[in-house]
Amino acid sequence: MKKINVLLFAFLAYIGLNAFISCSEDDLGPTIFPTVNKPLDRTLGTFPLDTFVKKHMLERYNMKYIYRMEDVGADMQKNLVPASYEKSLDLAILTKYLWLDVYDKLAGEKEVFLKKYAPRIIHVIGSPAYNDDGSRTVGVAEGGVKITLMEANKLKVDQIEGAMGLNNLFFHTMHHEFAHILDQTYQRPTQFNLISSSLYDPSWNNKHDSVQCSLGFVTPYGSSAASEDWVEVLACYVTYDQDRWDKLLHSALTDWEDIEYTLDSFQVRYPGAYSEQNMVAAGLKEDYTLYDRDSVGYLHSLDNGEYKLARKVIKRDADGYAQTDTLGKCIFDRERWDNIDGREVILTKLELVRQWLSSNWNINIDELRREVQTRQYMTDSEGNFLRDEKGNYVNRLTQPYEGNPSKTLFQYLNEEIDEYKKIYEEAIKNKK
Amino acid sequence: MNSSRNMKKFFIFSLICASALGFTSCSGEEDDIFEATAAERLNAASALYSARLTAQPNGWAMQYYPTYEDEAPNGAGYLLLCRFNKDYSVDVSGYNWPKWEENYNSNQGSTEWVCSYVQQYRSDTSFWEVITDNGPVLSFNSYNKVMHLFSDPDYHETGTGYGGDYEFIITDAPEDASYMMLKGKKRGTYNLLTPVEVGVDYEEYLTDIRGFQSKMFSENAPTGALLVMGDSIYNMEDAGMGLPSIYPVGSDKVTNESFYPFLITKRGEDYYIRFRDELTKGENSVQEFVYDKEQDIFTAIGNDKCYIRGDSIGSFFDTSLYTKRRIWEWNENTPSSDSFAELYNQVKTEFLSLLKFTLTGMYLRVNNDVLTFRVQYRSGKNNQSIDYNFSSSRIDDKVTLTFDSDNSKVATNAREKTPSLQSMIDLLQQEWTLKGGETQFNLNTLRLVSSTHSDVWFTINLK
Repeated sequence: MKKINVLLFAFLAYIGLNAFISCSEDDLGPTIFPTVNKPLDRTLGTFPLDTFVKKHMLERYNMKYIYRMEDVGADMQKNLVPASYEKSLDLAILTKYLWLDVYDKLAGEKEVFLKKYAPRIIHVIGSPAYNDDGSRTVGVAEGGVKITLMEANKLKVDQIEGAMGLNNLFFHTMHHEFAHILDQTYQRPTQFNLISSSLYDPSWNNKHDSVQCSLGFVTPYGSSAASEDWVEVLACYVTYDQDRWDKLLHSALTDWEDIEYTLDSFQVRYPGAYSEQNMVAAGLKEDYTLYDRDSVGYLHSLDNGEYKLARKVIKRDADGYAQTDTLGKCIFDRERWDNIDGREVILTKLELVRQWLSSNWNINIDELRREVQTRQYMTDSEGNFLRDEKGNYVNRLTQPYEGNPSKTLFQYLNEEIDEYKKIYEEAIKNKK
Repeated sequence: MNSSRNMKKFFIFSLICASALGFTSCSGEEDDIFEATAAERLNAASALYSARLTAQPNGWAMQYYPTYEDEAPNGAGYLLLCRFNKDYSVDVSGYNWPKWEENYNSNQGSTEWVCSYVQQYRSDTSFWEVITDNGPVLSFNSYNKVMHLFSDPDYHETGTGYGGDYEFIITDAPEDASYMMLKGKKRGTYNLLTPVEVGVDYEEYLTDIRGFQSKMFSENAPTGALLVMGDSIYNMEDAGMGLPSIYPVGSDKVTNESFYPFLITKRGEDYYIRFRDELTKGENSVQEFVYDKEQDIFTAIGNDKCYIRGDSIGSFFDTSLYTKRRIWEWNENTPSSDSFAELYNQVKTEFLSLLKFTLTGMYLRVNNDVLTFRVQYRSGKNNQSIDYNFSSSRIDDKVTLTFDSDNSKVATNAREKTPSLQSMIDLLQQEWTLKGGETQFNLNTLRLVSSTHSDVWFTINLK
């Protein structure tokens, strides 16, 4: 009986096994996604850019550069428009030159570093994304996989600095978002999180650069969370030229205080300052000698509808007006300053970033910064940055290229695209 | 022990069930429902609709409506010409551009947002493709200064722009590529594409359409077209911007008006008006009308009981004066009969020689509910005027003007000192026949012909 049971068991087991392993005949066929090796159609108008990004991003780093607007790939709640083809082209060239090539050259693992850690997708959008509070989102990073760059249609090769400059709109964002990805791989030191832990506040939008700077933040956005603070230190240090960085550190030396104020009393006192957000700026325009940022400050509205005036802690008379020294400058009231040395805090944070990049990624942040800025600004034979007659750094992209002075550097960088254009034109000619 | 026996039973029962599965599985191998994979079918759909878009060698006229709003500029229509090329570039052209800007209103001492239009031909080339994320979708996927003006969040209202779409679900695209219907992906407006004939120059086409629209539905005049829908008649006002207010004749406008945006296109030699939405009044539903030059009316396609015609001249004249409070003007440069021109010049000469005034123009206007004949002149550097009170009566297109009184002592003095001015007042006091121009849709300029002496006439312009 036991033997029959064993046979029955074996038979049933065989049948049962078949039940699980049959049905394997379906041919799933090739992948539904286009493969990397698929040749591009030379008769497409976008062939030059498509070829460039395929060669320098997709094949080299497994990175996709999406410039054709994909609504589903963006925030559907926002009204956004695509980047123009021309601006997408410019941005692709600059992304390679000012970002990819730099890490490729300096990172310990060379191109493997970017292949491993760079975002898989760069998504380019033409317009800004406006938020409900009136602020603009200039870039978004999603899970270390995708970086979205906004406002590509405002790209101007001849404008590196300023609110609408290349750094502020794109490269600060790229370094910022990339730093998030790196941070997710080797987490920043806990020590960093503790430095300004009591000061982080998500409502950063209503805060002013100088005020936050004095508290040890390189930008107001950096004061929103430790993770943002970390990547902002990296992005600012790499993209700010030395003048701007020095100015930031100098500004961080001072101290600010918040004073309760009403809008009416402010306007009575400073009649030229009419706009809530731009009171200081308006004052400067109206009468430079009467109002300035040092003596007046920033009036800002609070969520409860009241106002506060953020102003520098300086010596003032009984009515609150600034007292000045013999040169007419404000006198810092150091005795009333708080215990935070903004400059020292920022430098401490920078040092932690420096060590982290070096030990985990074998990247020297000073070399990285030097490389980025040397690609942006002209230098003399000794490597010193040149200045124009106004004292500003000279944009290298718009200057004659050393290897061929009949072209600017940016035109030189475009030569490869010109070659692809010829191939496209030839293909169109042959098609006809 | 019992437990062990039960386990054994359960084990054997499980194996029997499993073996049953072995016999039943794979017995229902079915044929594939589709011949190709999903990805292949999507690619085929994209190729099919792309081919239809490029099938028209001179492209398409797109009747584009950014939103379903009632007000300009977001709710108005814009005619865009799109040529889809096989290298996936697209040339988009337009003529009519909204301009939304802050204007200072000196009367109220405040600023207000005002919408106006810039009439200028613009064209730009970008790229397109048919994607398949929500059925076949035509996407203008790189920025085009013409197309994306309507969706750029930096224009008009920050963050929203004019609210338009640039991705469109292709809802209807017949095989013969005779038309296409697109539905905005976000806003849901329907946008019709009709072919542009081969040989038609985009700029000439759009300029011609604009000229026709300005002539028929002037932006500067209180357009008084009438929409006839069977037995019902509706006022169709303020159509100059393509967003007319429509309400039953004789009813209160404010409480009864509805807005029906339309666009004008040209096919062959014919001009068409097509409303964004179907007009349904009673039993009649119509959407598109064609202009009949002979009869000077737009007749609904497929329903000749429905048509749009110009206002009656007499009614328009009265409405413009008494309801809209507009001003009719004439001067030495407006066309008139020789005798009328001679009298006007006499007034001008006598004003200068007897009163030291330079005559600059004459007007008919309503002031404090009184019809006034105004004589305007310049004294030194100042513009001044004197008024004479008139009254009018009208039967159809015949209006009789009657002088009632001087409006001021200055007016009396001027009349008494300049005999030609008295003659002008005397001449105006008679029955005049009102005549329009090329079309009854445009009554900005009227000719007043003496009902008793047809060789006496003058022209007045709506100011």
